[in-house]
Parts: sequence; C-alpha cells; structure tokens
Amino acid sequence: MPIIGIASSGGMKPTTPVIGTATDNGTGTGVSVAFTPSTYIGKGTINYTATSSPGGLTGSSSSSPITVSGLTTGTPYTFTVVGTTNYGVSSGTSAASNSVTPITPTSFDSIATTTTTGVSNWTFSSIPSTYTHLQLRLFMTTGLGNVYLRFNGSTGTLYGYSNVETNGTASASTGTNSTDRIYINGTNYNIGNSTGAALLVNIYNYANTNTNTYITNQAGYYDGGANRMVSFGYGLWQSTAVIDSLTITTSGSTAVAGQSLALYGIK
Amino acid sequence: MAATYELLKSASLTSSASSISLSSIPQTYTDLVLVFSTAQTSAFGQVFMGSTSSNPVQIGLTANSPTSAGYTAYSTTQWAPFFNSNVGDLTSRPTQGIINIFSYCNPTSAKNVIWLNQVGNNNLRAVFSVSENADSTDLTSIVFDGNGQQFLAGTRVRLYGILRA
Repeated sequence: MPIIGIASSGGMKPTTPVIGTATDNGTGTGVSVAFTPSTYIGKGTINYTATSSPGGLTGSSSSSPITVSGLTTGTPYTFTVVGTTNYGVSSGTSAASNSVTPITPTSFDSIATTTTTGVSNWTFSSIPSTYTHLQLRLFMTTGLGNVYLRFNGSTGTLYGYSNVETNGTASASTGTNSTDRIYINGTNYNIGNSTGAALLVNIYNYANTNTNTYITNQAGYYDGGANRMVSFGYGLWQSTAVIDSLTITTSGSTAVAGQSLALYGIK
Repeated sequence: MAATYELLKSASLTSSASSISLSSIPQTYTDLVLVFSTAQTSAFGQVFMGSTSSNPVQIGLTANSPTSAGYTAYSTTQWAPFFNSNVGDLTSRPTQGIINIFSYCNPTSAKNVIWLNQVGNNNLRAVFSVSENADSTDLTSIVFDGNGQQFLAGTRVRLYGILRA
C-alpha cells in the first residue's frame, strides 16, 4: 500500500506549481500561461501541462510560460497547471488562472489613452515592444504653444528635428540637431485653441536595437479666423535603445476636458 | 488591448460618376481615416464632410515639382479644392491620399482634419493640409464631389474607424 504523498516508485510528489497570468499571445487561437515552478521536484525531471477550461486543450513545457494552442477565438478561458515527473509522479493542480479571451489578431492596436486634465505633460510608460511602429494621435482643445516629445525620460542632446509650417499667409521652416527634444509642430507658429488641434506622430522601428528611432509628424489647427497653422516634420533620436516610455510636453496651457492623447501599436 | 482600425465603408467605381457618397457612418469610433485613389477627367475635386454649407476652412503646404520646389501657403473656404487636378489617367497618375479626421462624433468640438496627398497632374505635387469644420454636429456622411466633372472607373475610396483604448 502506497503512503499518502509518496509515489510507489518515483519518490515524493512535486509541490504544486503556482499559477501566474494567462495572456492572449496575439495569434487569435493561442494563450500563454505563466506559472511559478514546483519548489520541490523529487526524483527525475519534470514537465508541466496547462489545461484549458472549457475545452480541456493542453500545452506543455519544462518551464514557464506554456503555450496552449487550438483555442476558439472570442471564447473566454481559464487555465490550470500540473507538473509531472518522468517517473509519472504528478503534483497537485494549481489554482485557476485569470480569464483570457483570444481575439483576432490585428495590425493596429490601441495601447493606451490618457485624458488627464490640468497638466502640461503626459507620459506613456510600459510600452510593449511587440509592435513594429507606434502612432500617437492627439486631439487637443487648448492653446498648446509648442509641443515636444522625449523618449525613455532622456534629456540628453541626442534629438534632432526639422519642420516646415505655414500660418496661411506666411511660411517657415525650423530644425536643429543635437538638442534635447523633438518638436512635433513647427515652433514659429503656436498651435491650438478651444476649437481644437490635431497632431499625428508616427514613430518607426521603436524596438529595433540596430537603428536609431525616427519619426514623422503632422500637426495643425484652424479656428476659421486668424488662428491657424499647419506643420509637417521629421525627427530623430540618436539612440538604439528600445523605447518603453514617451513623454509629450506642451509649453502652453494645461490640458482641459474633451481632449485626448492616444497611443497605438502597428505590426 | 482593444482591436481597432476597422474597415467601415468601401467604394470602387466600375463606371464614371460625378460623386461618391459614404453615408451612415457609425458613431462608435474615436477617429476616422479616409484612404483614396481617384482620377477625374479634369478640374478639381472636393470632399464634403457633413453639410456642404458648414463653411469649413483649410490651409496647406505644397511641394510642387518640377516647376517649383518648397512650400506654399493656402487659405480657402472649401474642404479640399486641391485634392485632384487635371488627372490624365488612373493607371499612371492617380491622386492618392490619406485623410485623418479627429473626434468626428464629439458634439462639443469642431471637426479637425489633417491630410496628406499627392496630386497626379502634369506636375508632381505633394500636399499637406489641415482643415476644420466649425460645425460640431456629429459627422455621419462624407461626399467626394467631382465639382462638375466625373470620377473615372477604378476610383477607390475606403473609410476606416479608429478606436482608442
């Protein structure tokens, strides 16, 4: 008769793995299940199996995370994890994971939006590195003065920019290198008032450690009267670091209700 | 993360038409993106967003090659008087562009639009401009108007919706 907790020929049971976070892996039919391995394995080696509920679909790995494939797009799932040694001795079953729903993969995702008012700078942090490019879409309803970008909190003089702009009756261009920010509007004509201003910034290859980061920007506003400008520009950050945060700063009024700053990822 | 950039409307002409209408635009997105590739027999085309009498305003920068280089300023009371100009044929010189329409169903603000397009007439011209329609009414329709001329077969217009998190 086997003793409780001890397998007849494979030693004591491994301790139960601790479930982590289950996340959609972006394929539309797969989920990545994280867990903390057994702290005691006993005899032999161990492999872990994650099982879905509903469906009972499984995936296995000797370490975290485990990918479970073949799931149904749009269906919510939870997962449990069990460890089994090569002697066939199994641990207890972990608690169930969070619920996760695989969604159809897209090439343009909304990462985050901020509508914080009363400030003149906004930071998007913990930006995933899984996209190819980023896009910032800003709709502002206050006098912004000039607007600039910085990456990863860096204030070093590794930035450069060049903008061309017009206010409808004159035109100008501005730009410089080895400076501490990228202006995403031209700096000769202030941008924005209560009727709104639009800014669109594309940030290319932000997670490519072999290249610097380049941007293009479009910005403008027109209130139907004398207040108007439009600018088109290019910017550079001479760093190969992966961008995981970016900050937008205005020199004008603080943000008011009704405006938003949205960050998107493009694959 | 929410999926976004959904195709909302698509129009492809199989024969000439004086205008192209995109109506019943859903009010469930944050911004719109309009991508077009058009050709006309002559003259300029226009884009009306919402009412044609809402008096939008527009300024722009133009790069004009080979007769001139650099940029030029515009001021006008029409939506897009220079999105198309004496285009000869769709195959070799279509006019293509992308129009971004911000907060199109925000009833408390004017409609801000920025666009970038190329004009395929005898010269090559790149245009970047910004427009605003002071009418705060939710935008439910967009009309490409030939301004008295015909859009040629092969002209294509696509409208996408962008949804923020």
